Amino acid sequence: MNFFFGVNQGDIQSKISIPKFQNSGKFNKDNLLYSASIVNSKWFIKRENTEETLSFFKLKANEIDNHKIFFIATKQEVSRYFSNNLGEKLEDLNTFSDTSPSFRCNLKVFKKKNGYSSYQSEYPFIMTKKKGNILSSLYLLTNKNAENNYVLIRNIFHMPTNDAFKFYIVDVENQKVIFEENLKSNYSNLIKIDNKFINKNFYIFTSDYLGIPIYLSEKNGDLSFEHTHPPHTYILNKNKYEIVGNLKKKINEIISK
Amino acid sequence: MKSLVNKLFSSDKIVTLRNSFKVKPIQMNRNSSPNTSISDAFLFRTDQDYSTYFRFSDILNIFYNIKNSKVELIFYDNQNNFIKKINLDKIQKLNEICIDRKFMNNKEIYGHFYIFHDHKQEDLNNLLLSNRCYLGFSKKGKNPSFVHGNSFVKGKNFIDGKIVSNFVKTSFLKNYKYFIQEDFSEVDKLELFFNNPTNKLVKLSVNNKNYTIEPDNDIMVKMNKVEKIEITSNCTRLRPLVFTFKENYYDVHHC
Repeated sequence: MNFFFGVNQGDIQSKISIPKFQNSGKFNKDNLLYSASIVNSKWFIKRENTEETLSFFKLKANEIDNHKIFFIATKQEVSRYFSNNLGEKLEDLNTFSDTSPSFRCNLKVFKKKNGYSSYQSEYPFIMTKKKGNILSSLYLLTNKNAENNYVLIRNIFHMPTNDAFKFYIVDVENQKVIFEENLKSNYSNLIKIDNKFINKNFYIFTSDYLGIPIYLSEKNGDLSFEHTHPPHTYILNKNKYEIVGNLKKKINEIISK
Repeated sequence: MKSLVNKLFSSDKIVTLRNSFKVKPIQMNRNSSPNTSISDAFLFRTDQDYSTYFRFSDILNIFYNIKNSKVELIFYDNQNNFIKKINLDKIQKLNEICIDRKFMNNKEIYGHFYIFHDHKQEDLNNLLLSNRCYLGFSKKGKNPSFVHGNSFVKGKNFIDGKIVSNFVKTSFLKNYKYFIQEDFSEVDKLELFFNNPTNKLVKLSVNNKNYTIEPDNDIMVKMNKVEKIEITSNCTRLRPLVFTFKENYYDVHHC
């Protein structure tokens, strides 16, 4: 099962189009669009009555915020969820979005009277069960010559909490933390990146929570929006998690100094 | 005996037959032989005033602390004609190359290239790596629209230098459908770029219009605004890179 998310902060807004079909072309006419948000420390599940065509649910900017997540499920699957669970945690309640290649929505960011940029986006349920650290280069998807650079750190955690966790920019060459900020779990955290931090030696790192790091740059109204790959995807050997774990351990040592 | 049966069952022709009848089909073989650096077929464009920024990391240095690693970049045009090979001996942990018209000998073309890492460290056996890398497409000097690498197309063995292909598999029949999960009804026009990742002829239809792609070739399919795109092919994983255009803006991403 996959979740979908957007971002809405200041003049940076987003639209999401969620397909009603798998990438093999199969439909399930019983699927509906739902959202989940945290209310009084519980997951509040709601049917979304958004614009739809025969093939897509189309969420507009005013239906998207930094908290809410979206998913497709049948009425029966959601009823079953409530019969076992009073919103204490997210559950893997739908298999329709379990496909290979992955089931994705289109997440498009835009600024009014400016350009747009998008990527095919999903947040797999399995990732909501895990904690860990994000490690990603600040250099690979930013533009030092742009007017604005941001990184969107989206976390979805299965428990209905907005826990604080740390975001760091680490200079790996000189082994020091050069910037830190508090982020929230279950939230689209949009962080403005000062151009002086766009450097081949600077990496972003998070404590405690996983998520997807997506970089946004803006120059003369032209936007670019793309995520980096998790480090372990570069290694195809069985010990990939151990190798990446050692790398993250070194970064942890820098931030613990 | 069991390993012989497994070997036979995994042979190229049998896999193609399995894929044809969808009997335990294999769409992509990620378990290549060890000691291999695997690359996507990365698109470059110098046509229509595009420049392509290619960013890559020295994964051998970052993950294995190898200080004398090298990379080889091999460029081909869209008809798989060899253009050039460059060897970079002194790379940094993160690197950028600008592929513009000047880089392509003043040619306005599109095509693909591969990146292969290399090392000479003897105690490092059985490495299997895939550098995903990032491409930024800038039209007339605009903010590059970035996209990540997405597939496994060619691999180069660290020891004997042999190039391996056909990570993505095919079928004897044009019976693999891929529906892009994106609504293109809000853009003015789009360009889909397909690379044939195999050494076989790929036949495909895009919304019922037929195309063929010769081995290791690239094609551009231009379309006007459309809600859905259906791709039918004898290639089991044929996913395009899309350029969308609306008014004066454009965007590039994987579908």
